[in-house]
Amino acid sequence: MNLTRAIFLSMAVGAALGLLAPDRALHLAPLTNVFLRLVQSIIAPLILAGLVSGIAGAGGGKAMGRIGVKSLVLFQVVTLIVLLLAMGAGNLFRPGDGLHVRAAQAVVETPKLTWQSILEQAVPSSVIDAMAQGQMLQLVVFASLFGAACVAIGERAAPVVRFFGAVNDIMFRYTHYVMYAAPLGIGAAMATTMARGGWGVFTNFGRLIAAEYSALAVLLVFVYLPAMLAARIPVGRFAGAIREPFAIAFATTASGAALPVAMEKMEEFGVPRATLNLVMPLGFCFNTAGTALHIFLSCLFLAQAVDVKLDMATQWTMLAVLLVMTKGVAAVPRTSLVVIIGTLTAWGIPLDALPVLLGVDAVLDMFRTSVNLIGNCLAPALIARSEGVRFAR
Amino acid sequence: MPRLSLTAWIFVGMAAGIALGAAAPEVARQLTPVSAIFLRLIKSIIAPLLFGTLVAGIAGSGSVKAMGRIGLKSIVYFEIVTTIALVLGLSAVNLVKPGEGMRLERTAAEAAVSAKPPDLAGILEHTFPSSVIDAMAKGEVLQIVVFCFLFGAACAAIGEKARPVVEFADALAEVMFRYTKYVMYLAPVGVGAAIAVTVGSKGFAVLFGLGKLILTMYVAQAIFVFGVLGAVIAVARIPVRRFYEAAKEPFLIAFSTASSEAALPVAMENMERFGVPKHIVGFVMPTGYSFNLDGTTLYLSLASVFVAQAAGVELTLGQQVIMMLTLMLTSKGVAGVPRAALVILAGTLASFSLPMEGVAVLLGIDAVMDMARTSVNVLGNCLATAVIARWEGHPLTPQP
Repeated sequence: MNLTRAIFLSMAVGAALGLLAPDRALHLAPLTNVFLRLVQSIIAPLILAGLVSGIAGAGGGKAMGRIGVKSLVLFQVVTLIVLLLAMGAGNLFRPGDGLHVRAAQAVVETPKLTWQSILEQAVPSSVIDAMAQGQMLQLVVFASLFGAACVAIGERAAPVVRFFGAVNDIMFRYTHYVMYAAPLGIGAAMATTMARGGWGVFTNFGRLIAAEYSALAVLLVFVYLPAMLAARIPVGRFAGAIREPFAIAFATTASGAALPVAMEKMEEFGVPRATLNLVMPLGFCFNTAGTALHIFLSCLFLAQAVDVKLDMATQWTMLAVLLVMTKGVAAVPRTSLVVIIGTLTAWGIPLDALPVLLGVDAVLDMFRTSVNLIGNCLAPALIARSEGVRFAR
Repeated sequence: MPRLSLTAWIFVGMAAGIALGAAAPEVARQLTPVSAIFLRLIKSIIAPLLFGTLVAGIAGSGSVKAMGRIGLKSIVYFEIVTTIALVLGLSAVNLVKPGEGMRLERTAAEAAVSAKPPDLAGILEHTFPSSVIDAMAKGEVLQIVVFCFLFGAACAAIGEKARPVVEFADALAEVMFRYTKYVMYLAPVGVGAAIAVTVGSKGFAVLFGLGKLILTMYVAQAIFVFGVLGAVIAVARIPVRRFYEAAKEPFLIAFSTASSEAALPVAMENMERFGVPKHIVGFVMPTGYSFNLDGTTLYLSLASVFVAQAAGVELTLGQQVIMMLTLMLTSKGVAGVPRAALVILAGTLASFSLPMEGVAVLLGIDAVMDMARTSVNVLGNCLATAVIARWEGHPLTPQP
């Protein structure tokens, strides 16, 4: 039995356990945490080593600069499409109508997310601190500068470049070892999620779930698929490559957890390592299509739930604001919530329905995280194609 | 004037510290920063040293299989030895009954020392790093070991491609040993200051107040060292003289600073020079710091029954055994934290509804107790590396 099959099997077993014996399933949380911690321990060295050796190996800051700019443009286009989809779904399904929430209490306290703080958080004051706390964006910034410096001084940087090249290879093997624990950790994650959510979630919030799932499905079928066909990316092989990271993202709802495997698989798929090392971590921060969709849809849902009418003009402005606000969401955990609250407060919409949203969040989170992941695997493939890389059929 | 060895200087420092602490306790208490600086410097060694030794050692040993076998053997050995320590502590306290005749009442003051022992799931999660850099920053030894274990195994698996890293790790370990040597020049002063502070703030009076308990503890620890560890040395055919030479320095540092972490770098270096291969020292020593706390185990069994005796609570042997099993589980994974043993003890006493005053009494003499249990911990761990090396069939030839 190969690993992917074992993972899917354990997901099924975990989901069944969570629905049938929720009390017992909740005890499995430590297993998930151990697995997640191990995966998290991969990320910092993998990204640092990958980027430094990648940039130095690609032989120039210029090529990497071009790739970086292309990625950011691509991410922004995807975000726009996604927000349009969310608006469509929100107005079509009207998931919050008829809830009439009226309970003035339970405001979740969250830190303010301002432009300044996002910008500042992107720049490291200590790379060691950034690695300790898993600040991915800071790491990317540091490693890009560091790698560029390696290129600039050439031969004198060779020991450092060789060192990071070796660390990169080692971390891929390390990932391999950690993945032996994946079936256990993922099964446990499924079990706890299902135990917390339960059947009730599906019946009570069917419309919200349907709205979000169908919008995401539209994104997959009518945006990602045509993009793949247009760029002549072999769909079958792509699907095969992302199966394992997809399962991990879906079950653990932690996009970071799937990152190392996703990088490994996309390299096997044929994306050059240098491209991958830049686009993947960047996308992890900026290419969160599923999350952006969730944020906008949730805003509409929460407004509808408290019977606040939002006219089209307001919705368009909201969209424009979210276009920038949804960036840098991955930098801080639970930030999607921060953005939602910030947006609602800005328009003076009461937050009373927020607890309702939190109740369904586990189920929604699985889908949006895995959609984030698909987008993040697709982006490097698209960028690689635009750089002239061909993928075997 | 003949040059004195470092060990001799440490003894001089200790003697001077005791004298100063007894003669001028006011002055002695001001010396805290001196020992603190020494301890901080030593702690700065641990993370890079562990990374270098473990990665180079495991990558050099060549196989994950060998490491797995070493891990298994270590656990077996750890469990056997700590169980013996436990039994020894129990027999000593039941024989001597140091707590009888004292009167401890259950009062409201219990809250003062209340502490919750960490639960099993928490310990399990805590063993695995979420970021090795974070683990290094916080000095989480066990997490560093887990990371380096996987990292080193990956190095071994990909072979030639990992060479720059393995060479780096190897060099790092060498550099850190030299760094240790520099820091050790401070040892006599740091150790002397630590002793002076202890004696200066506690005084000798404490030694007489609970003399019976302290004496029981020290005799039991001595019996453990000479009887049990001595037997292990004989059975494993470890050269006694050379082992004594290698272990005395870390033992002294642990004794005087009551911090097992402080003794870790020297212990690792000396055991490597003693002839234990790098991958065994790098793995067994730090894991032993969590799982092979001979001195602490002995102390815990002794202290918990002491509290029961002092409170006039009769514990059946069955109850004592259950209490011991709880202690054995909860005491894993808390090394390195000074006074951690007391936290564990407080939690266990609470769950057996024994009075917390017992802990307060023990707290008064904890400095003296801590010295004994920490040094025995370190000694036991040095021996463990040698035993595992012998078990793996290494001849223990001295390294330059």
